[in-house]
Amino acid sequence: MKEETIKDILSKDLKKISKEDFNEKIIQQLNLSRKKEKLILYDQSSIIKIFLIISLFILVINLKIIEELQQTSIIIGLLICISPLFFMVFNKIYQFTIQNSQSNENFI
Amino acid sequence: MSKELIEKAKDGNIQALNELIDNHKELAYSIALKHLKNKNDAEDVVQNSFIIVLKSIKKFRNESKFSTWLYRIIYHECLKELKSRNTIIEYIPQFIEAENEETYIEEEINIQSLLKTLKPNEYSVITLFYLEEKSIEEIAKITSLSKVNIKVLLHRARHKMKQFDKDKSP
Repeated sequence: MKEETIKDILSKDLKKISKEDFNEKIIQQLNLSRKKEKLILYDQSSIIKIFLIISLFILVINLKIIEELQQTSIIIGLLICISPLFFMVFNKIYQFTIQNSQSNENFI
Repeated sequence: MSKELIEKAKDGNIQALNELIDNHKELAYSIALKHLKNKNDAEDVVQNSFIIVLKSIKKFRNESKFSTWLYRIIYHECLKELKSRNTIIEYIPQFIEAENEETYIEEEINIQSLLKTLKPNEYSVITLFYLEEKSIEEIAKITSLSKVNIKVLLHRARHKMKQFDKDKSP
């Protein structure tokens, strides 16, 4: 049997997908996941990591170089530790406004 | 397939995405149907596989062919689906026959009966080899089978087709 005949037989036998909206559903899913990605303003885990490193750095400087913990440095350290919370709050506000605008679009 | 098309799909160009899907959906569906023997399951598996691949298309670095990556996902999603059923399903010919109610031409019926004799793995290997023009190495990547296994499957499928051709000719 020739190669062309095999190709011909196989290509004739290819089945067609009956769903008319097959492509559309895939593209719709892709667009949804892209919108979900955009819902996050800051990557929370990386922000927490960065701030933990910074606060650890300040703590090390205070203990090793200055050799005593001053009240101001403790306050600064605490503020740095708390600051990721502000970014998380910004994230939540951002998500909330986007979801609101999307639901308004759907309603219209 | 052009790199340009993939680049456009990476940028979210809907026309390019449609073209990518259209280029592969029939063969992908035929392979899935051969494995799963159920039209709805096969359509769902192919659709999910496209979603998986296209969602992560931005990570695709053209190191291998896009189609090799796609068929690998489809093939393994079929195996996953079969595993989740947790049962060995007997071959049910009516699913395939229902697909082709319009085809009553004798020649086509012969082709149908020939291709029914091919096992899912044999069908996958021979279609990827001849229709997608994949090399043995690429098919091995797609199916995770060894090159020797692929050669055996290809030989068996060719043999069945030749045998059918001999039986058909007077």
